[in-house]
Amino acid sequence: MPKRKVTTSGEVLEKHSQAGDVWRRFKRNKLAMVGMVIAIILILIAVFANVIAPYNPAQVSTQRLAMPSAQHIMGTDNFGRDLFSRTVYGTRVSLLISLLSLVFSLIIGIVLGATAGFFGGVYENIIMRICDILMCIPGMLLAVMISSVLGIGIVNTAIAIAVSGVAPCIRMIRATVLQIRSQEFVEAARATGSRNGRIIFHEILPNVLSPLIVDSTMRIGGNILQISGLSFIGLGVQPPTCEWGSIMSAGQEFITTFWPMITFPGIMILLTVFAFNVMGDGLRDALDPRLKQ
Amino acid sequence: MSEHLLEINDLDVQFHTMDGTVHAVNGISLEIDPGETLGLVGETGAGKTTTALSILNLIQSPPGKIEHGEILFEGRNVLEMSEAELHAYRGSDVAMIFQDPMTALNPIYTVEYQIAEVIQIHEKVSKEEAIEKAREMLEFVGIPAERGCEYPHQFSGGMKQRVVIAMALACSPKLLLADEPTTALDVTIQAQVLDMMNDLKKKFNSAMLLITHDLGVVAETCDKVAIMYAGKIMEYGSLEDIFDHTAHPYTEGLFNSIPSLDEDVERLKPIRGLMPDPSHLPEGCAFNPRCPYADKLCQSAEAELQEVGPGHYCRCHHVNKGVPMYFPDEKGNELAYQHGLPVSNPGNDFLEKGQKGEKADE
Amino acid sequence: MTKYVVKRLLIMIPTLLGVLLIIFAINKMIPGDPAKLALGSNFTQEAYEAKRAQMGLDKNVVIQFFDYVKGVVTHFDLGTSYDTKRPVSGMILSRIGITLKLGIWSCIVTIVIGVAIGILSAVKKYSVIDYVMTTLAIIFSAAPGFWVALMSMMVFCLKLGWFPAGGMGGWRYMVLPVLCMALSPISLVVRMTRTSMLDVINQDYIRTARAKGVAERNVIFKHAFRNALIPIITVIGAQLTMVVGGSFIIESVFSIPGIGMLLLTAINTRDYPAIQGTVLVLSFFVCIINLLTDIAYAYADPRIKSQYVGGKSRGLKRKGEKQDAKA
Repeated sequence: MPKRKVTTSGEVLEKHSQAGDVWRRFKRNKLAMVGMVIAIILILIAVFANVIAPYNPAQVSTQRLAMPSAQHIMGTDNFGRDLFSRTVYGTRVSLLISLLSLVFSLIIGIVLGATAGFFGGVYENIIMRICDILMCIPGMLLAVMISSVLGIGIVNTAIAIAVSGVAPCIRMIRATVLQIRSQEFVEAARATGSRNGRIIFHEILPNVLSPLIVDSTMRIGGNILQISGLSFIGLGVQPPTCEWGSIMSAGQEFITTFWPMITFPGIMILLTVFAFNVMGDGLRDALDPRLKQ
Repeated sequence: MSEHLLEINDLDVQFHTMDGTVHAVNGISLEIDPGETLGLVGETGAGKTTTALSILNLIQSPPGKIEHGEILFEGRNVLEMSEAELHAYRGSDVAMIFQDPMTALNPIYTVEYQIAEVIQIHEKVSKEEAIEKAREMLEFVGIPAERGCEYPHQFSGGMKQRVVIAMALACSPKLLLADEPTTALDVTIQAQVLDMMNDLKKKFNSAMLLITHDLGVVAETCDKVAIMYAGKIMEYGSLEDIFDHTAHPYTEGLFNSIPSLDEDVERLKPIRGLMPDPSHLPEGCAFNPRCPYADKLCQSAEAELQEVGPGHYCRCHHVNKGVPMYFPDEKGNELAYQHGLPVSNPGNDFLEKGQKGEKADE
Repeated sequence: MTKYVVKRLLIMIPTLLGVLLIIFAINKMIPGDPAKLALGSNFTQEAYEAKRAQMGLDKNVVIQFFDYVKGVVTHFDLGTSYDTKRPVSGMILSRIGITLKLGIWSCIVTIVIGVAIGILSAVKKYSVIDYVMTTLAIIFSAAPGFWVALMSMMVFCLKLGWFPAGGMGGWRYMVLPVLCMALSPISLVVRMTRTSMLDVINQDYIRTARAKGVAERNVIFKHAFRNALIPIITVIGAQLTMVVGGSFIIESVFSIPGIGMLLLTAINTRDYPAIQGTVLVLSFFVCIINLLTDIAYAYADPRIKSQYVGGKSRGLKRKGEKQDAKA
């Protein structure tokens, strides 16, 4: 509860914690709330995939390419495997790779970006030029190249996607650090005699945090798009592991007659990316009070 | 009937936001005659800028809405003009100088182009003639014409304000709305800009509505003054009325919070408290939480604007009691005038004199 | 202005060299011996040695890199395909036309439709059109391009039969691929245009323009849009890059014989020289797009232009760099 303080002239000054303020602003954004609910549901699906899925996703049967029915609510694929179960397990794989590659790119991004911004000089220049060059290669193509070298699999795909998206991450963190470093409260901390380590952890990182949170949320969605794209073209994650893109890739063969294999995984991707994108938008507006309308 | 250049009657503007309705302007009425300068004084958030924007019918809608009232310019109601009429009216009949010259100019067009644009819209001239005239205007405001082809970011703040003024005066408007034209400038530039505006105003014979919170500026430039508080006019009268015959406690508070060279005071007496939140105005008189003379009546009932002298109006419950009236009696003497407010002794003699004054009016 | 373009072109050279270096480095990381991969399954020891020498694999890595660069620069030598045993450059050149055609159309559609809808949304903010458009934009920016391609193929080609389901021919073959490539970029351009326009419309100078009596249409196009352009250009640049980067999947879905298809075949046969060659060519296009974006910036904003033309305002240079960093 906000503490209320009444001044002599009768108006009310409200005091909030920062997190409470952010949450209050976030809550007001209905679309972002919808996104958050969807995201939470998706995470629950991913965690409890084995409970939710009615069948073993790898269990083949003679009932091939069955249309959705009460027994198989999304139908079955070309090997008679239950599509719903495969889609549910696909959630787990997609979110896992997405998070993994997020963590990878954050580690590289924070280490290189923050140090580049903080120390500057030749070191900063070299890192930033490398980023410039990496950004000339479209992310998807870079992921394709790295992935084709590393081979398929969950960790390899996560690395490929992390590396392909790391340049903007480094740039963003460096830019934020630079911007904050020059601000007065850091000067003030310096003036009061704080050491470098303290300045980085107590003054700079908390302020880098909000753009980082927004960027990470958006990145989860973007990563999922890339994962599905890679799997769709035969890189990334391949059968028998369930992944939305690879399910669609297999379904492409039957596009003229059997729609569920393409439609359902696609809707899942759409939902996931949508959820994290609108959540990221909402977070950005909530974290940056200057932008609130 | 309408000998006034501009007449605002009972204007009421509200902003409907997510946090509630903001009553920015609550039924104000004003007149400005040709060639006259009216100072609109008040703290930040008193509704001064909203009033000026209403005169141009430029209130952003949504969230803003002019609830009722009329604004007559030469007898035509601005609020009922068509789009085309408005375009012809803005910039040529009434022009506005905005508060912050840093952001008032479009960063991607050259300065001369931005001045020429007004001229081209309102006068039947070719592009070259418009540019030519724009350069003349620049010279008028003391900027070398050859700098006209530069962009706003190449100018200093004072220069930009000169450009804004040149732009406002380019079509010799009959009324100039100046919204705190000097607030954003350095003190040394302020005086220059004010002098220049006064000169130009005389040259073009424009009337002016000068919005400011600086009473010094008012003293230098205005013929009439309106003191605004929380969207209402608290006191209205000639420059002398306001400065020498201050009637409203708020106006008094404003004067008390300015340092004076003549008087040797230890401390200034600022008005205590803050401007009320315009979405939750206090009951009764809007000024009552901050007023040193407030009583039960002030907390419950809103005061009406009453005439306390010829053409001098004041919105206060205590004008009849504490605050003296000074209507001239039959002999033409100013009766019952006492400068200032009954700070120490709100005694009966004030009341008595006040009542006498009232009688004299009858 | 020419000076600026020339300067910008010169900056492109080290960037492209860097791209070559990265591609070369990834090439070196490929597991297995390239000479063996090039020869296929059956070969003699002498043939292997000869191949190694011919491919320059017996030399120092640095020299190998310079040879590679020399080859690419002097006679567009991108190596020989493991799969078809033909030079990669030839394979790319024979297919590049169709990819370029698709790509340029997608770019045009992205810019025109995206900006138009964005402005409409901003001008009619909070209206039904605005809500519909922004909602659609949010949804489509979350949809994977290849899925949209598959779905539209199922609906418009197979069910309704409005468009041919694949291959290349007249304009009817182009409609769906172009739209599918452009859909997600359009969504993002719409959103950025709207945000940027709304931001600018609230600026003081727009109020100044209105107070001058400028007609609403001119306020929107002459005053607001020109100022809103900078962030819009940034997004357009980034999205055109996405068009280039994502085109190959769309090409594969619609079986369009462009370089995207070449890339996909190469991925499936692990034909590394072909993969690298295609990526290099596509990256070159991205560099061109970046160049055009930067030139567009300079045209849109006199503050950026004056850094290069007059060289007067030194202080603004930093600001320009910051904007760059943001982009």
